[in-house]
Amino acid sequence: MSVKFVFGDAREWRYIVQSLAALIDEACFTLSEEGLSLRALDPSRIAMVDLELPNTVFEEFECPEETKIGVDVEELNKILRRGKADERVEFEVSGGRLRVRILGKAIRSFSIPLIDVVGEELPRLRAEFNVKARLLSDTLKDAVKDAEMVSDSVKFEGLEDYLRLYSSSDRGEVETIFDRDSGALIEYDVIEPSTATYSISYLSDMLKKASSLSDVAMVEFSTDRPLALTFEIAGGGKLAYYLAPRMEV
Amino acid sequence: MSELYYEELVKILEKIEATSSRLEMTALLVDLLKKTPRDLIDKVIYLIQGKLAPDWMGIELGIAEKLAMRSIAQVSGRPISEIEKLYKRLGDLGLVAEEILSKYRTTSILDFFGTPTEKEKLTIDKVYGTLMKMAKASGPGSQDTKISLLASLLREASSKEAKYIMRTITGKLRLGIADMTILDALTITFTGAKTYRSIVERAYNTYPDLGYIAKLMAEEGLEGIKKVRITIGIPILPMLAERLTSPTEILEKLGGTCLAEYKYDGERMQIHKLGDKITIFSRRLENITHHYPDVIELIREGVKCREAIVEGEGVAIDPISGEMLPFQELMHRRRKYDIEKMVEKYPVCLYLFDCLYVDGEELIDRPLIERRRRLEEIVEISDRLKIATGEIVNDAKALEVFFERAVSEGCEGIMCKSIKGESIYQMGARGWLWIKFKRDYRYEMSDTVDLVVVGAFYGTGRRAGTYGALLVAAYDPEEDMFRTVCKVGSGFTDEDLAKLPEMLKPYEIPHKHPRVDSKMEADVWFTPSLVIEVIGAEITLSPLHTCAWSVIRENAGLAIRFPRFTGRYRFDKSPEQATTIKEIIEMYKLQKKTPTR
Repeated sequence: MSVKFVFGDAREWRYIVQSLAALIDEACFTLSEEGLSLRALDPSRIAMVDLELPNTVFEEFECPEETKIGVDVEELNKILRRGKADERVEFEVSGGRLRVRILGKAIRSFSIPLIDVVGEELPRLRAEFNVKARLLSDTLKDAVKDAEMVSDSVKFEGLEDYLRLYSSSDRGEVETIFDRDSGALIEYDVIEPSTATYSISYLSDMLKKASSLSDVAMVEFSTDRPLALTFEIAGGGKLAYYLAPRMEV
Repeated sequence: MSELYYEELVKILEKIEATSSRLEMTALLVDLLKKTPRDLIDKVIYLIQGKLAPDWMGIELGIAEKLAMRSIAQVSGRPISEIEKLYKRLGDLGLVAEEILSKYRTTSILDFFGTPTEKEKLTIDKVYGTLMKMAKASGPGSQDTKISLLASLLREASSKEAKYIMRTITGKLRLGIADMTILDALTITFTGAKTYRSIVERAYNTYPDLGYIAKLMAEEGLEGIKKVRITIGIPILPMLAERLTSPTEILEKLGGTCLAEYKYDGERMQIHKLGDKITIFSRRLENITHHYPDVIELIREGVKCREAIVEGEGVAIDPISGEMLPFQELMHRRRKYDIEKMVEKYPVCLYLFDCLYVDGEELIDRPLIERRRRLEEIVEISDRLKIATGEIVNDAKALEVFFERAVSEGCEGIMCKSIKGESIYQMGARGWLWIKFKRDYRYEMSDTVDLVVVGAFYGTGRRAGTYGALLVAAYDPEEDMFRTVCKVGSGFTDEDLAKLPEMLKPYEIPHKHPRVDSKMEADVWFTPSLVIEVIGAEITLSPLHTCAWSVIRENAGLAIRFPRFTGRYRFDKSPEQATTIKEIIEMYKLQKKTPTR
């Protein structure tokens, strides 16, 4: 009995793995009939990543019973870096190893050992978000980069008409405004105006690779509550990050 | 399992910090120990000491300050620059953590899961366990692991607890609680009074692990403590020596007679042998086995019994000449990597001087002469494994001469040891059974000298077939004699060595040249001709060399200590133009004095 799944675009998988690498070194994927998922905390427990890929995303998906696959993210990344957009990628688990085959003009086969990853059972977040914004991932990435010029944290302000990212320090002040008119804000919904501050280093790690997954990112937050940053994956999956706010005690 | 909260420990640590009375300190420790569940007592003891285990277990808690600051940054969400600035001002990472974390905290994403729960208090188990995980993290990525483990601890700690955690991990828990104070506290806690203190101390000297002793006392009381025996693999506290500078006083103290031994300028080693498993501990009981693979080999080959604890001094020697090198050279061996390379460059000769245990038999309560005899029985001496040079000395004059000989041969001085019936091995004690005779200062030789080659000694090992060392002399123009100053074997390149026999061949003669004055018997003698440039560490008194004989002191000449050939042959100089005796005397008198370690 073996677990096997084939994904149509090797490069897309590379982005997924690199997006995970932003937070974690070891990944424990859970596979079931429904598809593949992963939920993990970064070592300092400030952020969480939540990946869901339903079986429909895959060209082939065989998983007769729930299986956990622990791998070294960097090792997996090294392999996937060898794949291109027009190549398919096949994963197969057998004999304590993960075999990755990149199916292009030639068939290239790699194999890495599975590792024991102590996975914590993580509950879903108690999340009620008062601000919800769909915006262009690249503009969000730029806004965070701009903010980094002066500080290591950035304040998200969700006001009635626009979303504002603001950072300041004795080095200076930076702000970015997203509103519907400028085109960066695709969808915007505010139940209650909210503000919260988040770490730039986490945000930029998250945006660096995941922005390649999708042109559109969904940002959700409430006052002094976590931020959710979600990227849709073509074909029906999603990658979400949750980041704890910074607070002064 | 029973619990003790870390905050209880912190409360006591704070009070200890505030007191200057040792009695009060002991009383505070007793309070804490009484509160401590038995199965946690060892951990509590270690944490009080700012450790995780006794030093000799080699579990290093240390984390670089930079990394520790990153943990604070992670938990507080404040930039590193701010933390560094504060550290510069306060000079104590404990205070930095306390201040920053009382003001700022980042939240964990976990705080937003499920229903909010009451924050749990840190337990001793949790703190000890996490610190142990940090200590054991190794390999690539271990720095990040350490940072996040520390961060996880700080996140759960109150700012006051954070202060002590921080001080513990940076090795700055400066409480000044001596091991002896802890022994006092343990004795009072578990026996009710200080009466049995000496029994507890003996157990500790035999098995210097306060956590182990504490646990044993908690579980088995005094009876358990009495059963502690010397254990191969567990270092015992070494016997220490008093110090005097007058040979007359030394002999008086020792009852008119003693075993005088060379005190080599190297590293004291306590070596445990259990079959083929050999462990070396330093004087401070660190496990230094890793640094001395060659010593392990020497013991394996040369100690002829199954189990033994022996003590000796490892001395760095010149790989080519086999001559002793100063202590600093040995320190090249104290490194983590490239040990094999250093073994080749700075090989060690081991001089054994005591034997504390042989095949199941403790010898510490036997008199020195018997221990030394047992040592001679089990040791098969070789080129690199020797028994410390020693002789029984009964008068001050002879002691002085023995001392000078030791110094001129590269030793630090001598050890004078009682040979009376009560001359037991006093673990952990500094007493008058052993007295060291060391100089208070050493000189520094600032200039080179040009010396005449008058003889040579055959080499062994890599130097087989050529000379191992040259006997060199200064010129005495008044009597037209060449008087020896040292045996020089260091500083010669392989090339020098290859051509020396040929270079000296024309001057070889079958006996000592009549113009040469030497107490040493060279293997080969030469007509004084070749002049070479030599530098040394200092000029000292020596009974072995004839230069300036009885000028400075009766029956002693002057010698160069740790001589080296500079690489310059002075073909331009005739032997009569070499450095004169008078010049050597001048140099001796003008040497710069430096206090010794």
